[in-house]
Amino acid sequence: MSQRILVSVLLRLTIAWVALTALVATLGPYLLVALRPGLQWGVEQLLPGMMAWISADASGTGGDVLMELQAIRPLPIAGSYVIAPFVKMQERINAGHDLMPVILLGSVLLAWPYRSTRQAAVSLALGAVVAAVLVTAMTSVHLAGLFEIRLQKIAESVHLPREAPPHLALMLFLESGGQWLVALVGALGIGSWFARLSKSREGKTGETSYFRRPSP
Amino acid sequence: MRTIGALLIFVSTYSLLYGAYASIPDRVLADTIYFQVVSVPGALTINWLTDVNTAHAVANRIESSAATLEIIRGCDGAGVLFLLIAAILAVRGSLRRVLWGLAGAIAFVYLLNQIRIVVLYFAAIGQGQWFLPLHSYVFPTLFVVLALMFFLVWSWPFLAKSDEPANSR
Repeated sequence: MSQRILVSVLLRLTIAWVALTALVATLGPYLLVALRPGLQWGVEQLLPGMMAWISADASGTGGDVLMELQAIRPLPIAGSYVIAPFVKMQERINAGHDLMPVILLGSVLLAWPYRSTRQAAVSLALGAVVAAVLVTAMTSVHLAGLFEIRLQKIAESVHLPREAPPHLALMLFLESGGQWLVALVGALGIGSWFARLSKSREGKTGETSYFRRPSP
Repeated sequence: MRTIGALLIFVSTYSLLYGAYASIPDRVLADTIYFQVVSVPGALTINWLTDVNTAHAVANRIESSAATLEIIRGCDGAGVLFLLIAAILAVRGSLRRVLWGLAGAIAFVYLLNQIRIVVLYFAAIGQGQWFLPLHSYVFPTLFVVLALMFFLVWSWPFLAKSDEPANSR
């Protein structure tokens, strides 16, 4: 990688971050509204025996997601304590944190030194799909994790143990920087995959790339 | 094979650091580490900037009559620092260069986080509507992007070397 490409990547990274942050600030809440069916499905997978209704607020400060839950059968909390069927419970979060993959994944992919416009377009399209999947998964884990914290507090208040499900540990991991790790690994994975594809094509056609200086 | 090795070092270093961080009790983090390392310097900076002694550090909080800012797990820059340390170790450079990279990464992330804390404090007292977006995604993503830039600049000699044509080596 030449110094010129390094400077170009740093510059594009900065511009991409500014543009995507502005985009998420304005359109992020609408993205959450669009992902509502996925969130509902995700939460129901993480909380078996519960029915979930998700609503996302695209007005005001935006990014607020409301989850309503209802047990479809008695679900044990701790000891003889159960969640009775037909009791409705609510959990509200601000999903601003969960929108981070859009900015990070997008910034890295927009700054990547592609060989062609076509490669950039395919890579960015794949990045958009991966970002949507990550936002859906992370917001679902966030909602289910907060609900689990509520159940843990109930168990603690009656001095009974309650086993922590894996999604609680996953939520804590994601909230402590795991979101960045996942988004970066996703972006680097997509970028490197396309770079490798173009290198192998270059080997066949003899075309040059950003990464390899042409032989004199 | 080299890429897979680097990825393994990256993921295992991050996991080890995260595991060690998760094993620190909340009270130790709040009352000792955050107090000494984040709250006290943060309150001093705020007082220096405002020219009045309004902010003071109480455990993991910066308190004043106008606002209280609580520093909790995950809001300390540790996640970004772990990413940078893991990435620097994964490159496997010379010991001297790695040590410089690690020292630079710690100083860089610490400074960025202190700036973030001070800006968030002023956002909380002056521009309340800015606090949530700044805290939720503006600062966290800016941190990661700046850390990525730090890594790119630090690792540039390795990247340049690894992309040289085979016949020039």
